[in-house]
Amino acid sequence: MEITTVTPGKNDSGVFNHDDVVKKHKEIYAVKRDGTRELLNLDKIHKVISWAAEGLHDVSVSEVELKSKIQFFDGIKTYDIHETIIKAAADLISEETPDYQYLSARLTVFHLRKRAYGQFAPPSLYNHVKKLVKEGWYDDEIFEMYSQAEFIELDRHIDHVRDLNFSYAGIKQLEGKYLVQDRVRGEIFESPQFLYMMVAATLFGEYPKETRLKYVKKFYDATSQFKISLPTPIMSGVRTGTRQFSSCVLIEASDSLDSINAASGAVVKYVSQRAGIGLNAGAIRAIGSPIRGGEAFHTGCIPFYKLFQSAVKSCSQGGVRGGAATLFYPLWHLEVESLIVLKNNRGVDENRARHLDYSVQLNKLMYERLIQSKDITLFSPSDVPGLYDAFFVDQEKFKTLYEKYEADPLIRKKVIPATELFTLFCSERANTGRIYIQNVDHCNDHSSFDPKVAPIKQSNLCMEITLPTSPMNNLTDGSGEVALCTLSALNLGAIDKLEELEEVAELAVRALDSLLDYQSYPLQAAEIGSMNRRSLGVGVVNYAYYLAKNGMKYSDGSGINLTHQTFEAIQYYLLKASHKLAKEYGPCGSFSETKYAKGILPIDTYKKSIDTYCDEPLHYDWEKLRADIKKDGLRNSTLSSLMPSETSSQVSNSTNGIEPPRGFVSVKASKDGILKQVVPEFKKLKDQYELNWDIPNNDGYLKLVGVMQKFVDQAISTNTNYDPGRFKDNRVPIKLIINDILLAYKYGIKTLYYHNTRDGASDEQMVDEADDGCAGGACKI
Amino acid sequence: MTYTTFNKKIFNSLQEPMFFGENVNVARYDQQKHPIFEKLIDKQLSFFWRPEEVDITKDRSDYDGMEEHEQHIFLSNLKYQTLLDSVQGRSPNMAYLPIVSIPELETWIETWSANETIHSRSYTHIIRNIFPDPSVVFDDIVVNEEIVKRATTVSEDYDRLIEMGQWYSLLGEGEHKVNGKTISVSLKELKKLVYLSITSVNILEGMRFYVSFACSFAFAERTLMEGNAKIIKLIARDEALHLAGTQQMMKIFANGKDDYEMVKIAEECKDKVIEMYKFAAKQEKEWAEYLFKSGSMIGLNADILKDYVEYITNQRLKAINFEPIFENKGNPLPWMNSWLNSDNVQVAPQESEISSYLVGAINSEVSETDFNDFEL
Repeated sequence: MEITTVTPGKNDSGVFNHDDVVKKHKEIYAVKRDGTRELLNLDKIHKVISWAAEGLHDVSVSEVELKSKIQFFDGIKTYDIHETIIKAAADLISEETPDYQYLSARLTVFHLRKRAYGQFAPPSLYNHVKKLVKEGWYDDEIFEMYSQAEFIELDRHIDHVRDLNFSYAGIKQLEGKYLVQDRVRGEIFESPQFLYMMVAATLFGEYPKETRLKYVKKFYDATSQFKISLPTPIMSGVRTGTRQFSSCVLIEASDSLDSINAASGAVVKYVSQRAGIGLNAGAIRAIGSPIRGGEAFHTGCIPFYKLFQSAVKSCSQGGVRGGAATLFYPLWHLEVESLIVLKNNRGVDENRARHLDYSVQLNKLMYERLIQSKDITLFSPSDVPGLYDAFFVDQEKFKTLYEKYEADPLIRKKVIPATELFTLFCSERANTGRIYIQNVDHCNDHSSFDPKVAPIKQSNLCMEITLPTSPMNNLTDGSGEVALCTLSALNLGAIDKLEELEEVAELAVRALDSLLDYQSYPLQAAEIGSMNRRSLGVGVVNYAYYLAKNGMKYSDGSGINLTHQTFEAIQYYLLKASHKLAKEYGPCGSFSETKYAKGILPIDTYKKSIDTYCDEPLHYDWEKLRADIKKDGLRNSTLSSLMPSETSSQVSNSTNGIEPPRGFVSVKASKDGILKQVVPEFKKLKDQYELNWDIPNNDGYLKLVGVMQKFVDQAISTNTNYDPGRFKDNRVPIKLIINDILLAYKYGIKTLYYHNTRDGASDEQMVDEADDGCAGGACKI
Repeated sequence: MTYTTFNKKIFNSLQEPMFFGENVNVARYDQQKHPIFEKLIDKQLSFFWRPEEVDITKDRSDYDGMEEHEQHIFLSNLKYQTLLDSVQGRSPNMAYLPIVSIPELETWIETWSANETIHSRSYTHIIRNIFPDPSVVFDDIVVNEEIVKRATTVSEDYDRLIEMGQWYSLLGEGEHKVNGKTISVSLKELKKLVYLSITSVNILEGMRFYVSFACSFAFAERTLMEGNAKIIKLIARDEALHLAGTQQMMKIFANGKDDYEMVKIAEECKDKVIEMYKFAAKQEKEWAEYLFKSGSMIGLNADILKDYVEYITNQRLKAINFEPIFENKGNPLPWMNSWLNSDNVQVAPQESEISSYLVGAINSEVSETDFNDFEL
């Protein structure tokens, strides 16, 4: 371990020389918080940066100083000096010098501890909690839950040095989103280790006194060492007065005005509580349908979609996260041609609702029509009794009804060649990037739930949650069901042996399950469902690193067997944990509505086409587990789902979810500005990583997702990627896009999320002189 | 000479120079003399976007919360950009369309100008969001001394070309007496004006804009005015294309493959071009002083922005095969790259609009029988 130091004045870019620094520095006064002025003290700054650079490779203290110095000005606030140095260090993060991400992170820790405590050393946990409870930042219940002796014991377990393991992107996310703070005054009240300990203490507060400190410590270790990633609502809310932590909410509207109103009311409630929304509006009848037997014409879907859009955008979630929703409708909806274009840039405001994302729902019959070169018939759900329900519940019945209605000359319909409809749909998906797909038959056939009693009719914002819903007639209606899912993710990068997953899986299940009892529910329709189903969604982060570490790739099939082993282990251990909880606390109330209750497991219902390319056998004792589950039940109706986890994977410096990284240094755009993140172990593994745009096609990735989906009992946010540069005339063939959608269906994938297109926009600052296309041109085409 | 909207002469447009050949007749794009313009058109069309896509509601409270000198920085930039795009929305059409001679360039100019009007609409979108009365902002543009000063420089080369172009179109080459005034029209002089006005556009799109971009992105680096920055990012993506257009034209002029006389003109104008860049750099530095006259912001102050002006000036000169005129320093604003290159930008799903999608970058050829063999 050595620190590379560069003599001041000799900086490679020649931006500044030493004399200038001294001269300029002499004129610079800093203004402290209380308004007093003091001469800028370079030695103090030098000491802090040197401390932060200890043990890191290829970082230069002088470089950081020089880079920040040119940004100082007379009268700068001391607060700004810290921030300026941090920013300067962060700007130096690059493929050649990845360690600046730790240097800038440590400087950030230094600054935020100073802001929180007025000094670097944190206070004792007990005093800290006492103070924050008194000031109203922490929930006072915590203080009643634990004795002073227990706080002292937990304090002894805290390892504040772990604060120094953050990368820059991670600590900035923490600072911006997670740490308890006064956003209005810009004050911060805690440092990361207290956050982790207090989340753990709050979640396990109701556990029996004899065992709870053990779980608190274990869970603290797992989260503070990044083995388990928790979503934003939990990290920022648990331990405070906030009591709503579900990241994902699924709301369904039926065809009635009352239920549409109730749904948009529910949207407002949950958007204001920081949740992302999945909204099923597929049952709303088409334009021109008769109302009250023909007394009036129906206005169709679009005005109601616009109502939903307004509801979603009505609250900005206090700047933490902008409201967002994905709206679901079936491909065979009579208005589908005007619904598919709602997001695009053509058209005028009146016939567009661009601020929602959309998901089109399909089933096997739709795909069959396409491959048989046949037509698809569009109906208004209100004109075809039973068809809409059968679409989710019973595929056989759907087919029979659909064909019957097609043959019925009295029913209003529109016939369109399947190829044409798929082409239209795919080009809109490609052009907007944000029109998704839900294969409703896969979602029900291969889910935890028995579709006869608890059909899955929609997914959520990010397309990884598939839970039963039913419409409400008003906001206090307890007969409808609003589905909530509570998420977390296991860090595959922190696992050396698959057996290690057992403990983290159990901790994750225990913690999320406690959360269900701890949180409050703004709607009865949400509470009943959540308490009875207790659905969880445990996913993974750092999959790309996991593949790279094991010398495997996305594109060539080398990762298939490992993926099979890994996701088998995850689902097995999750189920085992939930079974254990069922033995302790009893199975969830609606356990009988699951397939698990009948002894049917994901390994029974998966799409068998997986077997054509994956020969990995099962390694765990599923039969024993099956018997156990049949006997004692499960505490949770669902256990797994693979979410995108953009933000939370930054905290643990992991690669995002199951996605390949865009670059070795990814630039992440979010509400916290632009953050640079270097892939884990970049120097060692740079030849092992397969970057997103280096992957030639989607097939390898889709195959891997198929294998994951074999075990995952909810769904997976699956993205498809296209680089026009790989194709003739720089145009992606629509044939390929359609083919990928068919492949996804074939591999049993339940949902498709983003369609990413490489836009190739670049500035010549990044492009070499030796350019293709336009010789020596500034803009790469 | 006299402009005609449909030239009935028979000629091979592949042998026409970019300017001052035959007026274009058939708008055909199956063949091109300079395929680069066709590619630019394609790319530009695929970039189509509208400001309304970007949610800028948070910007309003951001703006209200900023200190006065920061508001000054933000607003002045917006005004300046509004001016620049007002000019660019109309001038290329006025100046170049009457004299252009190849269809792909003609269409590129039209596509390019149309795109600039989207940018102008964006500023209205942004300003309307922040100010109850947008007139306060717009009205100041024509009276604000600092802006007017630069407006003159930005538009004078266009204006000279347009004027002489009109005389040329009406009267042809030679000495003419009009209303008692002697007007001399020379084709060579006109070509020189074309060359210089293209240079001036190159400066506008490659330098002046970037100075503004730097400020917008500097705010967003501090998580302020991010809606605005997202729009500016889309604008910057377009401007990189426009810049490529003028850089290509200057290179084509200089390599002699298009119009031999242009090579000589390019040679003769060398000093003048450098002078123009120098003058623009000086003006932009004065602008930097004006922006930061009552205070700086984190990450940006007058000195850094001036360094950036020098850096970007050198970059743009190099791109048209000129020697840099300032001391070669590194990029003082390395974080700008993350805003200008979209390859590496990952977006958290619910949190930001995706700014990297392309419209029309698909080949929609598909036949009904293409998927007949697929097994579900």
